[in-house]
Amino acid sequence: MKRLRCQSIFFMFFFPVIILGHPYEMTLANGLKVLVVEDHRAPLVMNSIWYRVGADYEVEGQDGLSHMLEHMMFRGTPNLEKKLNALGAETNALTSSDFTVYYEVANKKYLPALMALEANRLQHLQLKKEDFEQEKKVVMEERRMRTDDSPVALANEYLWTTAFPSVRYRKPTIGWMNHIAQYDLQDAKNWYDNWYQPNNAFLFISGDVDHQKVFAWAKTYFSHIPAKKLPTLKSQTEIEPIAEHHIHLDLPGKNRYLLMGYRVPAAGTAHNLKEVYGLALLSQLLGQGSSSLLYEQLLNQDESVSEIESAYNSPFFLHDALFTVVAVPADKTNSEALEENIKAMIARVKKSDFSEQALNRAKNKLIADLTYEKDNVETDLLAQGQFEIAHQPILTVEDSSVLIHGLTKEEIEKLAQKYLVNNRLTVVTVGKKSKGDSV
Amino acid sequence: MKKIAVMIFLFFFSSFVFSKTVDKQFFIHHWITKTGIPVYFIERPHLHFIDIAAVFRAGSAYDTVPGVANLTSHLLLTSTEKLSSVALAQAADFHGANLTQTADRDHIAIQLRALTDNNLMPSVDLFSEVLSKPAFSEEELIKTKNNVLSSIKMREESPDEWALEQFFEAVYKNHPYAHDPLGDEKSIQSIQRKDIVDFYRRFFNSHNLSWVLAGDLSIKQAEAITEKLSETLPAGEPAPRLPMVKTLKSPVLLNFTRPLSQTTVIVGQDGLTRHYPGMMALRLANHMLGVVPLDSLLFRKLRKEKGLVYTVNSQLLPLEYGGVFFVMLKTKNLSREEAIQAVKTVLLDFEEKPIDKTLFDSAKRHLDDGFPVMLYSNKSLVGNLINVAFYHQPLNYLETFTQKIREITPKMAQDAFKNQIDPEKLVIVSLGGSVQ
Repeated sequence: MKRLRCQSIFFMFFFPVIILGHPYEMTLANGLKVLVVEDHRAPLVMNSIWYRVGADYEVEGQDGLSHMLEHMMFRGTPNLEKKLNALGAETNALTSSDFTVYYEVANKKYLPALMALEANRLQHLQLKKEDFEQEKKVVMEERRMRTDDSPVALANEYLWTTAFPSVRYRKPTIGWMNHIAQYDLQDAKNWYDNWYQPNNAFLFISGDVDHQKVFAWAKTYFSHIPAKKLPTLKSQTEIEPIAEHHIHLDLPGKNRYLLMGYRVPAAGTAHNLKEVYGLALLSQLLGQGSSSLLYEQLLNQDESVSEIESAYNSPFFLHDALFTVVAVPADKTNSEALEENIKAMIARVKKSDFSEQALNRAKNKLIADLTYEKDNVETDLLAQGQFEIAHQPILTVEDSSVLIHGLTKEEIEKLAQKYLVNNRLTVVTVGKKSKGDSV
Repeated sequence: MKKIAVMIFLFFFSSFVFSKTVDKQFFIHHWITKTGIPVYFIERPHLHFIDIAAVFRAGSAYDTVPGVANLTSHLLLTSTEKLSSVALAQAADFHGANLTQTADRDHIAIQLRALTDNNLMPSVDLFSEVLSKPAFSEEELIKTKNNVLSSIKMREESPDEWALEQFFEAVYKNHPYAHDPLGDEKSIQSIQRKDIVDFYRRFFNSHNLSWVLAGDLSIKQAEAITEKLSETLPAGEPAPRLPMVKTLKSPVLLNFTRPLSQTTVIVGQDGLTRHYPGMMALRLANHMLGVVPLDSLLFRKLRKEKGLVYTVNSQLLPLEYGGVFFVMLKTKNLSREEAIQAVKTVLLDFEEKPIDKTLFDSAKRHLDDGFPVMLYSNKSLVGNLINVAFYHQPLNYLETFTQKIREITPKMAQDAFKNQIDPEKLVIVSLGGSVQ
């Protein structure tokens, strides 16, 4: 019955999973890094190329351009789909605030062909006006589908845009509708020329492969592509959080929602990885799963919500993240009271008013879920690449378990005290106001 | 780009072609427990967890009150005779065990995902209790009913699901398949504890069940675990046969208005049966029409050529007593008619014009070489094993699948589609904002 997740392709809302082994690594003279994980569980290979460009790199009025170019990388490569289908490959791409990734999953014998395809579209994209205008319509349909017709997705968009007043990542990755309408072909061309360079990318390949062979193929297909100087961007740092924000969306529909988001660090801004894992554990303890503190208290005992879930979006961002609690209030519940009750539970965590057993459960569940996430080929691949995006070392399953088990009750309590505070909080309520709501 | 789901092959037809080229990684171990329950198991030792599903012939088609099957399956996961809801949730999380349910029109699957270290047996014990010692407490019943009512309200915000239920209602009319497996507000409120207990006693027994397992167990372990799980389940009667769905005689056109910026459109038809001899060829036809990534006939026409949609796809859903084929898309409200016409043109052209050989070949390759990709996860393996177990497919079904696909010719694909789909008798459902 979990249907609350504000997921979209725009953010990577899952926590990176543990890989089977450390990757083999080498860097070509043009700056392209190659990472290979040998994973022999099936005769398959996952090929991916990651570009360090995403919504955070965009200027005002051009929000969503990275995502638009992602679409054009398919449209502007003649017969790409025919070639991929002939290899039996599953393919997709994804744009985030920090990166854009293209990937294929196929029989391992096709890896050289897949690498050649990616090398080709890194150099020879054909951007045509007619295609571009047609694809803009497709992106607008995508925005209508994912965001405009979904109250919870719309609320999530407002949550982000309100929580971060001064930096670029407050904008939606897909872009605002009126800005999508005004892209022109030259914008996409510039974006491609500026950022799609070997020195701004890396390959991540995992599967039933021999890393030495993969390195040799990487040289064959990519080493002749020259490096190019990248544009320099002013760094962006969010202003100190000083205010709690409250907004209300009065949308048609039968459901009410409460979204709370606290600004917290992620891999790019945290003191160390331990803090990131600590926040993930705090989220697990507080509101992930039916034995979590919020679920037990508000859903099981008080029956004041029909759904409630916390999340850490997203641990491996280069910038700050949001620690969210999303709930569907029960009919009788007013949103303000619910918000206070959630805050009361957070206050209990800060005072160490939870059991050692609850913490151990959360640890076990977090580690089990990391193990289970490897079941999905796409989740697995994407999660692995995010370590590299965040310039973080890759942890093995043992490393991560040790890290999680090593977190103490006191450390979790301290994280809550430091970050789950009112001046870091944005609250969005959705739906018709109920009696007593005065947002 | 469009998120391409790892397809689950829930609906293949058994072929009589014997094949020598079998794929060992999909070998299904099969046996019967002492209490007579069939077991289907695929060994996958690489990731250290196991998925176990108890598959009951107890889908919404057997509802005594609309929604009772689904509600019963949810209630099973809330508490047991020994364990309160809090104790059960805590024990499951402590062992890293996931207890879940899926319910459709034909079946209900209660599933365990568990780590195969020392958490395995405690997790299996929890699963056993959940299946055979439910509490069905009044308190949990009220809570679970509220949860389902909330899901029904949520469905209103999912145009796909809501429109699809209207489509099913139109196609299945008076058949037990017609109503929404979730039930409706009224029916859920009317359900009493007795309805749940009766439904459980009637359908959740060892003669109405198959075990499906995939993951990191040895055969010995799998045998021991399924024996243990089977011991505590009561005997009983298999579910009765239901009538076949009567096919529609004329087209249906339904339009629903909501304050939305896009219109969801479903264009489809009933009449699909699991016993259709051309099912494998139909599967390939459907692949060309609306499944092949980035290049299906529908994708070409509606997205590439016209820019009308972000997603468009087609599906075959051959349920036990009569299935459907349908195309689903979303487009801005103003383009609704244009999109419907475009879909009709694509379907008609497929039946009447020569088959595009290049696309045919690539659809075939995509199914053939892509088969291990589609069955990569335990999750999709379990889905396919449920299909084999529930619909009595041959045991070499997964191993010989690609061979059977290779034998299809363009003419077979076209004929299979032509025999099955009549463009004059389409069921068209749309849900979206008004055009003004």
